[in-house]
Amino acid sequence: MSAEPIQTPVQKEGELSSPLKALFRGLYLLRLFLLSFVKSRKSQVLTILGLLPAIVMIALGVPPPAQIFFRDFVQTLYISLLIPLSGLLLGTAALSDEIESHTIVQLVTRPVRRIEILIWRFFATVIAGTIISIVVTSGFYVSISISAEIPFEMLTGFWPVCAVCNAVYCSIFMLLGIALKRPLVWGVVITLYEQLLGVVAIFFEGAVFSLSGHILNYGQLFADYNYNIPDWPPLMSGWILLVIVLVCIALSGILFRVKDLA
Amino acid sequence: MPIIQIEEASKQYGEVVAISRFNMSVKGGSITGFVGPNGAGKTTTIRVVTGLTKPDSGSVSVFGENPFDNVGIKERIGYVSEHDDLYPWATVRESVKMLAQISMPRQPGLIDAIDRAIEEVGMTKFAERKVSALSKGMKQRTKIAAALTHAPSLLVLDEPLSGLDPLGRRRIMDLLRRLNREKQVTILISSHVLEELEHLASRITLIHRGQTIAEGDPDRIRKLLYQYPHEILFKSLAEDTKRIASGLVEIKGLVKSLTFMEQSDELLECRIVTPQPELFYDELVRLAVERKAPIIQLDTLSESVERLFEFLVS
Repeated sequence: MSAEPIQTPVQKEGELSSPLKALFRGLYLLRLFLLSFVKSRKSQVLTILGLLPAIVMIALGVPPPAQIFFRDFVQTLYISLLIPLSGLLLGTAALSDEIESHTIVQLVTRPVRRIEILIWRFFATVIAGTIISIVVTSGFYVSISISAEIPFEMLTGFWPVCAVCNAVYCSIFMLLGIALKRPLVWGVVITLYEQLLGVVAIFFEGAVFSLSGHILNYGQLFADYNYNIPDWPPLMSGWILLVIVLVCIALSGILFRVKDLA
Repeated sequence: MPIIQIEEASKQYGEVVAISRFNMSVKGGSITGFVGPNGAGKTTTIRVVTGLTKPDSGSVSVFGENPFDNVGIKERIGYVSEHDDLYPWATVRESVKMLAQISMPRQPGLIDAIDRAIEEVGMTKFAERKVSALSKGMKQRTKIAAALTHAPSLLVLDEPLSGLDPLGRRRIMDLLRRLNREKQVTILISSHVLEELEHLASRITLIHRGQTIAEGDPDRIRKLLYQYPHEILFKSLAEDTKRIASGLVEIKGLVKSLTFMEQSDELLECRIVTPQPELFYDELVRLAVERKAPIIQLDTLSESVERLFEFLVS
């Protein structure tokens, strides 16, 4: 007994070609995921958490010199701590939230490849994380600008760094979210390791092994600050980060491809 | 020609065997009911058919292709899962539209197809209501609408009737019948209650512990189930109960055991185990009419589906 042969797909009138179809399908997925982020409590809590320093600044005032304070604060609090934390929460949940809420089933049972779902979900997570970063750093900038003048470029220069930071952490934590049963625990371990390296880097060259070290080193190309990893030009750090992101996405893709969604 | 063909498929989760050397074929244009107790392997089979999971061994083909590796065939499949898998923050129309756009990006006539699907499931009035504010039946209908927008030729539904009130069940069954009749949509529907599907499906497969234990048209399956000894309770005025019971006992092989339980001064309850339920009901009605003994209550004591299936396996 043989099964009914598959019909050869014929492009109907007005129907898009396959690559265009894939692109639009991806954009619709991106919109769906971004809407999910906008509606999610997690994103709202992260934004409020990120705006807290701005409220504290308004209440306590800014210690002079304001420009250096702003630059160091964004570097140490936002790029080294809050964005990794946001990456941890958004990245680990990127696919596991969809799996736990069963909404992934609606997507996987449609004519869309799992790798497409993964890639567009990654973009959506990075965009959502970057938008949160832009909102919270802008809030911080406004709170400081009340009492001191800071060039606007100083703020906008940090935005690409935030985007890079989000991309790196989201890719790593998304991989952990797919590969491990308790991704949050491991995510916290990685974040703590980062913080520990930050402290240790003062005494020896720990920054070479630190993600935030490479992010800050690469970020010098966009933002106005100095960060130095000896013998590592900023562009080299950029390549290292790109490789990390690509490897994490590739591994996530392989794992998600065979993942049993039962 | 079978649209779905499963051959010797096995799937195990750790120590738990979900399906074991399972075989099934579903013909085009049919409504196939897939019945079994909880944990029988229905959902695993459906997940294998929809490409959500891959069998450890054996083969699965849908429209001649492996559904796990060929996303293209999913353009021809509509799936309604047993879970609440819609985005709770979206409205009915948004949910159906977002999912339809993923299935058929920028397809001409898509908006019409969305409106038609919503209308088809009777949700037009609630189209702007948020999913989180819908009843279970409305959510099921929304999920069916989302599965219909791309005009699938195969619709797979995992326990779509569970937890619905009788009206909700009837609406969905009417809808499925209409889809099958008017659009020749092949339907595979699962349930753990046979009665839900026997008036809908043209063919029924009983599954237990991951294996098919019986297959056939609903009449054949019903007859098979009637071989299982039923425990039946009826209640009447004490004298009437005794008169009916004595009549039933006189029929050879009809009553396996009989117990009277006094309810009050006037009422008497009788519990009978019969190996011939179909004949039993006929005789009970005949005796009640003949002896002018109205029955106040009649119940089949619910034997667990699990035990019923154990019986069929044996």
